[in-house]
Amino acid sequence: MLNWVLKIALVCIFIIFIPTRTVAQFTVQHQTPTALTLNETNTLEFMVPGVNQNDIQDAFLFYNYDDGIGFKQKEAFFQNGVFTVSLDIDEPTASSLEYYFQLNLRSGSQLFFPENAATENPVRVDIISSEGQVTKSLKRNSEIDYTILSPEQDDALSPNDVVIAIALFYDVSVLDPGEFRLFIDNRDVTEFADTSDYFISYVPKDLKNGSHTIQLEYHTESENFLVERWDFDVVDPSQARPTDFNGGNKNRPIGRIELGARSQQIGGSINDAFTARSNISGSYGLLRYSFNGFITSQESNRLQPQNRYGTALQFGKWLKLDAGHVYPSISKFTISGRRVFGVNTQASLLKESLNLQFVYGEINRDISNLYTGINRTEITDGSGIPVDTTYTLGIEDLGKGTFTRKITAGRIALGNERHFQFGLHAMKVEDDSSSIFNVRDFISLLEGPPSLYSNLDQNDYQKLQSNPDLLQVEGGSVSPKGNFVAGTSLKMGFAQNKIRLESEGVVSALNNDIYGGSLTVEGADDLGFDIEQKDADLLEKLSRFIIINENISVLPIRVKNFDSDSSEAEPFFPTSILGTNSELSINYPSNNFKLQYRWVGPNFTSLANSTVRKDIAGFTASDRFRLFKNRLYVTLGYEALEDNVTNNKSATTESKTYRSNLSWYPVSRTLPRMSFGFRYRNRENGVTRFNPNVAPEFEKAAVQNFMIDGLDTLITPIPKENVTLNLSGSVTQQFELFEILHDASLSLNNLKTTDDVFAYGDVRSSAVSFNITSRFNEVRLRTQLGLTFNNTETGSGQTDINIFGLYTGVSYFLLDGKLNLNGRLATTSNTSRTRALIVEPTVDGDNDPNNDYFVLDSQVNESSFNTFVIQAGAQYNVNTYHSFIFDANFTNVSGTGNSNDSIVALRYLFNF
Amino acid sequence: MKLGKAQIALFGVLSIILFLGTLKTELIKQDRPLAIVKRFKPNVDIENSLADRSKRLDLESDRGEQLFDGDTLRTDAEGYALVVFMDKSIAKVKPQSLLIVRGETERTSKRSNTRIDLSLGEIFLNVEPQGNNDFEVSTSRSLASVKGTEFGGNSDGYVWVKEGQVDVTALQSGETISLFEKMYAQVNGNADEIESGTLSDNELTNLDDGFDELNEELIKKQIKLRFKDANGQIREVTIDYYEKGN
Repeated sequence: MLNWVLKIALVCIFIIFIPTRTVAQFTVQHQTPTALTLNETNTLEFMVPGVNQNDIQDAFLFYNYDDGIGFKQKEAFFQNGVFTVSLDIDEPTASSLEYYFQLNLRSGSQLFFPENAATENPVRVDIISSEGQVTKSLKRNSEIDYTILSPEQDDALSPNDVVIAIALFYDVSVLDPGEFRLFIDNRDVTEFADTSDYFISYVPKDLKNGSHTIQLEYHTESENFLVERWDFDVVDPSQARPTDFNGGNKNRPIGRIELGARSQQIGGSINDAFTARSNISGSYGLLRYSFNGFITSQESNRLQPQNRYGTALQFGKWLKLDAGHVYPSISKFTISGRRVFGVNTQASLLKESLNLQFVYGEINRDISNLYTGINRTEITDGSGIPVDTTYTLGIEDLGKGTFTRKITAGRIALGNERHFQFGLHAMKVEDDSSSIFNVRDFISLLEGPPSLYSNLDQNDYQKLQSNPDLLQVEGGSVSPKGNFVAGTSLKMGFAQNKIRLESEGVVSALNNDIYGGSLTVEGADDLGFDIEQKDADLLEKLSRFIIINENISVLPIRVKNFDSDSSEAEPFFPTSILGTNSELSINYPSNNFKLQYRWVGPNFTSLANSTVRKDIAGFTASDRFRLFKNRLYVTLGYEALEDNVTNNKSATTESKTYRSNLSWYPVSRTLPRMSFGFRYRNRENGVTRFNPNVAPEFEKAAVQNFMIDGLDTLITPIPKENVTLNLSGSVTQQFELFEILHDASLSLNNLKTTDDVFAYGDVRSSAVSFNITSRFNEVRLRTQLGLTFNNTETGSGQTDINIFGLYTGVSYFLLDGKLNLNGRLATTSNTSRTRALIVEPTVDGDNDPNNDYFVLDSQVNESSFNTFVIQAGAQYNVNTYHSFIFDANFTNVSGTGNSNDSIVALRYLFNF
Repeated sequence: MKLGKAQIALFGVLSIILFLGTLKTELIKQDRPLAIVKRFKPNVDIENSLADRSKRLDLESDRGEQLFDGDTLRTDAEGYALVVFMDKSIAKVKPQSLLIVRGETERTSKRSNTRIDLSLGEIFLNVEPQGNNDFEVSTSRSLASVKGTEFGGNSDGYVWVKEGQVDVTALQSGETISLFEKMYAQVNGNADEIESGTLSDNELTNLDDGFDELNEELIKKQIKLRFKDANGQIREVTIDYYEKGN
């Protein structure tokens, strides 16, 4: 029986899987950056040709640093056909970032980048320090005195006025022999400078507008010393604008208000949308404040909030209050950037030794169920005589509801985390079961409008009333959930915070259906065991944190002598609901080492962070070191993980990953920036592939697997043994050709999974993207050309998807920069071939499942479509305060699901 | 008269000392200039007859031209020069001026003695108030000695003070007076008398006129911009921008 269930499930999975892939009209295009910069805002762009605002529910970037246990999330905003996410890389010890992009469409389908197993194979990018920070710190030599004659710190000079001159004063008899070296923007220019023992001058000829850094060093045989390092700016005075008399008002708030109107023709129907967006911030003494809001006429009560607004107040570094739509982070296991409509307050008192945080609000708002009525179906026997009747309450397409999901969370931490901090945190997430009308059985249906059951006759009515559970709900009834997570955290820093130890341990509980409240004596009796009243009272008291009843995922009660007169329950502690993560990081200027141990039970759940990987335990170690004056970054990593941490499965899957990355980031932009990565992963569960009932050539495709135990042949779990090799590379080069400055970037990614024990487990994926941005010297024109190729074959031929994308863009400034014209043209060609995986009985009419094996269906379903997007826009800045932006967008989808969509939008911006 | 051996030896030692002294001066001169011409407008000429140096400064190639002891700087009818000395003192030289820079500096410390012989024209100085340094401006009539001030002077013995204190000496008589903020002094043609008085704001402004010819004061401000970098990703960066002051 189990075998047939397994087969049906597998076939269903593939049936479900195939149309999802073929119907999807969109593909995500993304140029992976060669590196991300620490302490800067890095914005990532994702293009989805053909998608329009009406298709989008929401989009997120999920990211973590250095193989974190889960992913943080940040919402991506859609504008002009591009999703953008601004990411502040503010984790000082981070050496790499992993991320994937998820787009949720209103149709209910989802798009990912990377397309193939995004959570398992996210994009990985090195994090580097900004150029100003990569300079190795040098000792100073107190024997050398100096006077900077020109330019002084933070001087602003026109390009023709730059003269570098430094007078030196020292006693040669007390100074170790050596020489002075002059650097501009980390480039050694000593040989071009006019140098004498006590004076250095240099007149650079080719300094571009912008900030520049001068560094003077004294090099001896044994050591290099820093004399001084300072910055100055080169600016073109002709581009400076006169000051007005309002510039000095520090208390004046700054902000932007944007009003937009959009007319769109999508799928042949015209609809208009209006938006308003505002962002205002300012400060008054120690008080900093900001307000933001977004209102759209496309707000729908069928979706989570599209209108979003919030305010943030901060008083010094002691108090913070965010209200409205907020994005709190308490810990990796609880909530980490998930949107909440409510408040997030933080206090840091007594010199940061007492830290408090409190979060309250809604994670989800309620969305009502849209029921259509009861469908009555008679089941007949072979002769057509009715033998039974089924009653199913229908639901409109996308009409399934959602409960209001409330969150209450808090954290208290004692001590400064730079030295020693111990914290306690807890989070309660619970659906409000009364927030929507939700039919679970016929009795609950009677609380709704009679029109839903008006088609029932008296017999049906009585039948359902006497047996309410006969009523089914299409797709199942939604159940309100409850979740509680509590834990401790420990943070320590040594050696000026260069060595850090952070640890978090949590326990969680999940109730999959809190209808009915806590378990009572009577309820337990109905379930076939006894609990005492005092235990029931205890559960009632605990219900302020989580409702504990028979639907809790892991009941902390063990029933002894079940189904007997002496059955009784005793409490126990289920370890499967635990989670812990410890990280040791050692960060010295040229070396970042990190060791992480995690243990997450299979039943750990946080309803506020679904990205925490469950049922996993093991170590992750990585070391990144920098060589050649921080030009070369080398990363080495090793990870050993296994599942089945509570030993409740028949086999344990072990996974070992070796990782290496080599990146070269020269300071000079005439040299290419390169990054190459290598990842090798081996995954196996120790089960040997064996099925004596199928021909040897089909053994790897067998549905069942066996083992010989003495004289018995036993069914075993499905064997797992595969190897994944992932190679990636990225090269960026700047060059000048025909007096045009070009930035060319090429990214390659190749992933190959070879399954040694399943004939249809191989995966081949390769992606190439090329981008060239050209900036013209004579005119303020910038062009962009990009190409992407993507080929993914999964399931050893079950799906084969080929995507080719091309986009070009142009941006041209005129009228002294007041007017910007821009355009973009993108086209993609998407071809997919799919073959279903079916079970092939070895003999026609053979009902023995033991000799079944999978084969690829001979029928190939081919689907292809092309998208063509042309976008044109203009921005006119009337003056400093007022701007108008116009955008027009036309999308054509040809082939499967062909359509023509167009959008025209006008926005007005008021900056102040 | 015949020279004795002792006298010859003494002469020899003195010659060596003199030679070494000259050599030392030359070496120091090679080590470090007294000043640089940080900014100028054509035409500006530099001459040093001892060093056999004479050149007209070229805007392309001669920015930061170094001035050594004895160097002459001359501006023509259109020429301006902004000279920065080793102690960061600044001299702004008007058209039709001629000055000779003289001085010496020490290798191991910032102590320096600087004198500008102003033969023609007009200069304005912003002298850094630095410890024991001596800074003087001499003309055929006057000697102005300063220690941290802003003042101007011309070759006709006129000295005026915008800020700080200047001691002005009439070279013939040795008479010395001290000038303070918004005061002037005029040494007569015989260099034996000094007339002094106070200046109104208008007069001070008139005297200042022309010296800002080489100023490019810019006020630094910040703005946040988003741009697309070489990788095709958009970055948000804080950009400094500059406004010309009123």
